[in-house]
Amino acid sequence: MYQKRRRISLTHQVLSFFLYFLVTSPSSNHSVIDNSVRNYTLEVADHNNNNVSSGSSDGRFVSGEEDVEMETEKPVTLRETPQNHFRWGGAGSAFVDPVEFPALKSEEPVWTSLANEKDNDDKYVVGQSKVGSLEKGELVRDEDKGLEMIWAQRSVEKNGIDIVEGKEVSVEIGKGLDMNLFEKETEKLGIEGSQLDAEAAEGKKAEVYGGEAVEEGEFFSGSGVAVVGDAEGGKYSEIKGAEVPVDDGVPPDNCFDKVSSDMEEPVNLNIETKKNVEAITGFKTEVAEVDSNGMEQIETSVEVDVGDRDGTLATDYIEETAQTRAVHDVELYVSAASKKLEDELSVKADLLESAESIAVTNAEFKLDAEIEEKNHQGVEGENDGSVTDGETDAMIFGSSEAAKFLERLEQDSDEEVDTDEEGEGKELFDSAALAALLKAATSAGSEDDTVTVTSQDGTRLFSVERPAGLGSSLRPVKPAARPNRPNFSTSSGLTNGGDSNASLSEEEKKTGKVAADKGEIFRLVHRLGHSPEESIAAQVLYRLALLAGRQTNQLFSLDAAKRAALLLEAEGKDDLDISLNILVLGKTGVGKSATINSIFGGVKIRVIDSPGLKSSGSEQGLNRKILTSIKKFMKNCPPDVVLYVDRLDTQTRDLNDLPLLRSITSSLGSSIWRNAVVTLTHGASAPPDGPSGSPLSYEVFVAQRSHMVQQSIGQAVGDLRLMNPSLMNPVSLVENHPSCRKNRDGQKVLPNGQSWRPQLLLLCYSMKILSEASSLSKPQDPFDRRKLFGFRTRSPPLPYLLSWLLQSRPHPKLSADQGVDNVDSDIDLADFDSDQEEEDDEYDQLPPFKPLRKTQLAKLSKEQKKAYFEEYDYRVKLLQKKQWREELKRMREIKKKGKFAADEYDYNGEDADPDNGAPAAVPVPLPDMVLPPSFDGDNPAYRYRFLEQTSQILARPVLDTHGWDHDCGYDGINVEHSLAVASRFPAAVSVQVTKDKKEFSIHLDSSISAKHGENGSSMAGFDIQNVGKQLAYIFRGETKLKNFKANKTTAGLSVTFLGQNVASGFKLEDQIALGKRLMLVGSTGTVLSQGDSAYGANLEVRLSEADYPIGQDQSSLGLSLVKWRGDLALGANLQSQFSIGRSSKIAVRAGLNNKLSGQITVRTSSSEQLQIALAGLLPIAMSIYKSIRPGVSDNYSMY
Amino acid sequence: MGSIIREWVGFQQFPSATQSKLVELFGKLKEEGASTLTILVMGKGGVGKSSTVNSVIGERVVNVNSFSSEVSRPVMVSRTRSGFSLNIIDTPGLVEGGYVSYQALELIKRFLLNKTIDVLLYVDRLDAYRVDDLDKQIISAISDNFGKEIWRKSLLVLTHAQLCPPDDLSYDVFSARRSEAVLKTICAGSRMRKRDFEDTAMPVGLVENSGRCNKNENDEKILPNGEAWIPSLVKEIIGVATNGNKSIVVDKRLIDGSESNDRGKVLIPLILGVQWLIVKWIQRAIKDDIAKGGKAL
Repeated sequence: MYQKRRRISLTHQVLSFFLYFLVTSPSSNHSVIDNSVRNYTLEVADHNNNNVSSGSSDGRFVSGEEDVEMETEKPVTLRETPQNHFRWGGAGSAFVDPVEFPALKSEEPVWTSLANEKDNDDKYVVGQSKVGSLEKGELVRDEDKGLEMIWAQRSVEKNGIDIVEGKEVSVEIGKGLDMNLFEKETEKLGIEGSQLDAEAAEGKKAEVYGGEAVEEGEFFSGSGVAVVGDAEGGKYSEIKGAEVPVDDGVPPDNCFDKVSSDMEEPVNLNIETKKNVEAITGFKTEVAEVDSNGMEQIETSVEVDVGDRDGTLATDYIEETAQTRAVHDVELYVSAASKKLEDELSVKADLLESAESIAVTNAEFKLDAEIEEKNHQGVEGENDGSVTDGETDAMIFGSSEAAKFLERLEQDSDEEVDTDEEGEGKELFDSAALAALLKAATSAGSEDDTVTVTSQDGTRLFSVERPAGLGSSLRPVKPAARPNRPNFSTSSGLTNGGDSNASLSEEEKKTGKVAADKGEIFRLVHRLGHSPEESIAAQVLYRLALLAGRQTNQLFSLDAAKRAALLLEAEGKDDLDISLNILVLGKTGVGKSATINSIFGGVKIRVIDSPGLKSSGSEQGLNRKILTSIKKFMKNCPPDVVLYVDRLDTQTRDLNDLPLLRSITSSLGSSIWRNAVVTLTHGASAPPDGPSGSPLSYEVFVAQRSHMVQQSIGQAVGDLRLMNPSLMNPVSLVENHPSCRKNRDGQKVLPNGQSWRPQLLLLCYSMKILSEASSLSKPQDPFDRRKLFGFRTRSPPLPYLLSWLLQSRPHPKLSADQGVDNVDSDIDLADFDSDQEEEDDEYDQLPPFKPLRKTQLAKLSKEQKKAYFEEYDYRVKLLQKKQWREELKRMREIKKKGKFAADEYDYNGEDADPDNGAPAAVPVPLPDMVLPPSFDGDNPAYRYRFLEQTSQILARPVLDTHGWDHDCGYDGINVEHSLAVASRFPAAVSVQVTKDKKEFSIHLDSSISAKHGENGSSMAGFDIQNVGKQLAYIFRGETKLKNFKANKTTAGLSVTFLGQNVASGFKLEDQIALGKRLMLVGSTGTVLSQGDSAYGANLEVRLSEADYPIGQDQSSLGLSLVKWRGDLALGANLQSQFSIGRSSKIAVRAGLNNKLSGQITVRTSSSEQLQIALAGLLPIAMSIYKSIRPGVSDNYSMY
Repeated sequence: MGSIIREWVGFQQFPSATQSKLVELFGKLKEEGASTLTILVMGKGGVGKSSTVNSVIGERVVNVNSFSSEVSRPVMVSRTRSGFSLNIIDTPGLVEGGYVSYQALELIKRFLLNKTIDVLLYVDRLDAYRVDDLDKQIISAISDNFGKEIWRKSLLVLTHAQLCPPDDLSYDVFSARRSEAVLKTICAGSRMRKRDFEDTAMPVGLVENSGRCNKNENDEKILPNGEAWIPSLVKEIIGVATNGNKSIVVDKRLIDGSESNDRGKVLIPLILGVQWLIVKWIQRAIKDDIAKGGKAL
């Protein structure tokens, strides 16, 4: 025996050797990545701020050819340092390809790596060009499953409420909106409506609706339609478009004619665009009219609805919309500001007045603290409750994109400075707003150009042509999961007066920060040679003002900040300390390095250049290697903005970009696209010929190209960005060609006359500032499915409280009369007596039964085995019944003599309450948890060890089965204790605490009950719960009467304190036992709070197996109905658990509500090991397959 | 089954200078006894194949939309003029989703059944700066499907020729480098030996199809270096057609494609030998292992 084993081991060795030999054959593919990391640390500290254009030959800074083929093998941090004579990469050969190019490749190593760099392979020296230490902005990127925007109506979340963040303040930027989208919006508004909350003052808004009975309603962040006719946008640009500051200096050499000829053309193009702008504006104006009257009826409909019902009962988890009122007023400010610029605009301003902006989502807010920049008062003080102005919603006609954008920003940021609580789990700062900023930055906002990228009229034309009616104009990216950067760039001395020492309250700190940001923007704008009125700056400032929210002191006056900024700039004292990390990604040969070269200068930025990625499907392995090294690099130097560089003049069709974008998304996480800017190089290239043969206009060309890029990104990331335009990435154009046309002050200009460089830089900076400011104002915490309900507690979640009230709760009982004939116990002793006698000795008459041993069992034939098992089961059942009867007998005696002997029973904590079938809570020692392999530092959870069973208090960890991947699931502790108060009143307390580094939630459930004679029992209870961020204190009491033989009625009431709101509720419940197996439970209840009320009713039929306590088969069908604010929600759910065969059990839960969304869960448990093992194999096989063939498995479906 | 032969109306549309050159060139071809010329145009998607066909024919034969993907299946355009007929076959892009689309290649092969191809125009862009592995894959796919000889009858066409080369390179230097890089890839991809590829000396034609192409005094579309590109392209095409190599006849065998090429035939006995040795070695090891095992007990 021993010998045989030895031989096997030998052959085994041989085979393994053989295999080893095969596997490690040297990898044949030529590895482009040479592992030695050539550290480029280009220290560029550009003190004098003449912006260094890439082509300038002032010697100090000679840009390598922008198409320089030097393959940057490793991501490299480039910062400009004047000292080093920077020549990027190899000499001037234009083309490189993996097939080495013979001549011209002078490889002189230009850069000496910094001395203090120790190991060479993967360490990157990252240092501030000025300040020694890197601002250790440890970027906590919630890369994993933060619930991103889930737009679809039908999304179903198993247990928690699926926060559909589709807040979609569908402000269609101007003409981009086409009619059918508009209709959809309106009826969508109708459906999801908005949760208008009457009390503007308290700012209560979002309601949560959730109830056991009714399956989770889907939460829409209410999205009304704020159709913004960009009537004046077109005109605005049109007026602006007149003087195109294209200097007609000596026309550059002929070879550049093509480009230059385009330049002329755009000038007349302008005129031409004016024409079509006219046409469009014309059209727009109708649109505007349509919109406005469209708005009217929407408005009215909303108006009407406000009273009785609007929006679905399913709580609209309303993304906190900032004060629309504030937006409205401020919008006036902006339009007023523009008035200064353009008189004709005043006409438009009136138009704005009349059109009234629609607060997209909901309640009209009365601005409780008006922002002092607003030039007219008229808004009452902080919190007098009455709704001031008549129109509940005002549709914001942005005087320019700025306003539209502001409204969008508004609807996302949470301005309730006084009530600090915010809806948790929801991206509070909507990066769509940020993206709108970007979009505005790239579009008509700036004064000297017609609409450039994603121009409305561009897209307008575009959308008109496209039959698919994809009218969505390109819109900025959806909520950026702003990494909440713990440390913010400490605001420089600019916070005029407000020193940010620790003692400042959160608010002061925030306002200080925001003021600092204002200052920074002014300085940036000044540096980049922009005028503050410039659209981006105006929007950022406005946005910051809003973020600062309520403070009305002088701190926030814009001019103060401006004066301070100019002052500082003049002195040129301390440098602007906000640095910008830019990560540049893109295919090979699209001009990444050239773009970087031309970005440098004037402001401090740190750029991470990356090697060109390959677009061909088979080379994605290579890309992944590059991307992983980028990712490593990003860990210690997190980028604020990501530039995805591509060429404007290439047409990548047939999904050719998909493999590349997919591997970017898979390796860097899809959140990378949230702060990504699509940068199209060769911006000045001539538009191709349109289908009609004549060349396309520049705007249309750019719009179409950006649309294609957005589409492919959307497919790669898998979000419906085309359907939901706010997901689009902002697009900016770049032209690195040395002989690109320049405007008067030497800045390179695109064919549409826009100087692209300051635009791009300001875009990036604003993205960073806004993301910081927003994350400061609302520390965004990831959606936590452990919380029962994530919602904004503007007004108390009446339906939730109602469902909480309607739950039938067992009254705690003294151990003495456990399950004995009292009000609570479902089992009624009486009906047992009747059939007890004749079965009494049946068990004893059976012949003796000898259980067989396993070996003997194996000998039996199949039928014998089956027969044996049946007999065995039957005997077991009988035995259980017998024991159950003895138990009842014992209790009856106790009850008879128990009347006077109750006191000597001390309560031994053994609260086996049979009626709800919960097994006796025997403290099962829990095996010690093994830490998950990847228990890394930034994992938010604590680890709880199993506590010793000390006293009667039962403590055990709570297992959360829905934990994230490397989360071991034990996140909370559950402490239970039952005691007898004055040994007469049984009481039970159970506390469940879930605590991790980020948040803390407690769930206390305590109740005490008292008996009144035979048939009555009353209970008082006190609960503490986490409702969203707030704690809700619930006092409840109920009395249960057993009137007829099989009927129990309960009446109960509850009072809930939630924030400052008080909600009182009343319920009535009736339980009728029909025969032994059927039980009918009906309950109705209502909860009212400040005039708002919710009514609910549940009806449940429970069917249990004949000998219930022994046979556990049980099923119940529940119907529930909740009516709240005019909205009716019906829900039905079915639960049943039954055992199949001897050793397995199935529990099925199915729920459906009237919005046809529901869920089905099937849970099976089987003691036959084989089945479990087989079921377990499947996922393992899948993952092995996926890891072997990563490329193959991701499907290329269109959408 | 090609499209109906129609009079070459577009010919008139060419400027007179071009017309005269073309007449002279086609005359030379007719002298060589060839009355028809079949040109196959292949290349990646979106590089300008259809636009080139339209420019050479002079009519908007194939619908060109810069953003939607182009023709989904091959189209043959036939024009005849004074007894000489010109067939140009436009094909769908060979790359789909980052991979060479074999479905497109199958489609093209089935379309070309029983046709002879005189010239293959491999189209790429002049203003792309990099050549990547995808190009190589396309070239090798073409070699596999049409045999290596097709590269002896092919011409490299670089579109978007009217561009301003970056960082002050002269136009000719830039185009020379670019064509050299692409030719190198073709050589590598076509799996031909370096020597064979050198002597095919594949010519390079530069093309600018957009309406903005500069024109010279007699209204001919010219390249930045002043050369009228339509006549020179046709000259190159005819040069390749008459370069002595025989045209590619697409027949059944080629379509089914006995993919089996005899590369590495010589290795087979070698591998067998190695296997035999290993097996022998293992058996011997087992035998002495048993012997040793027996003693230990």
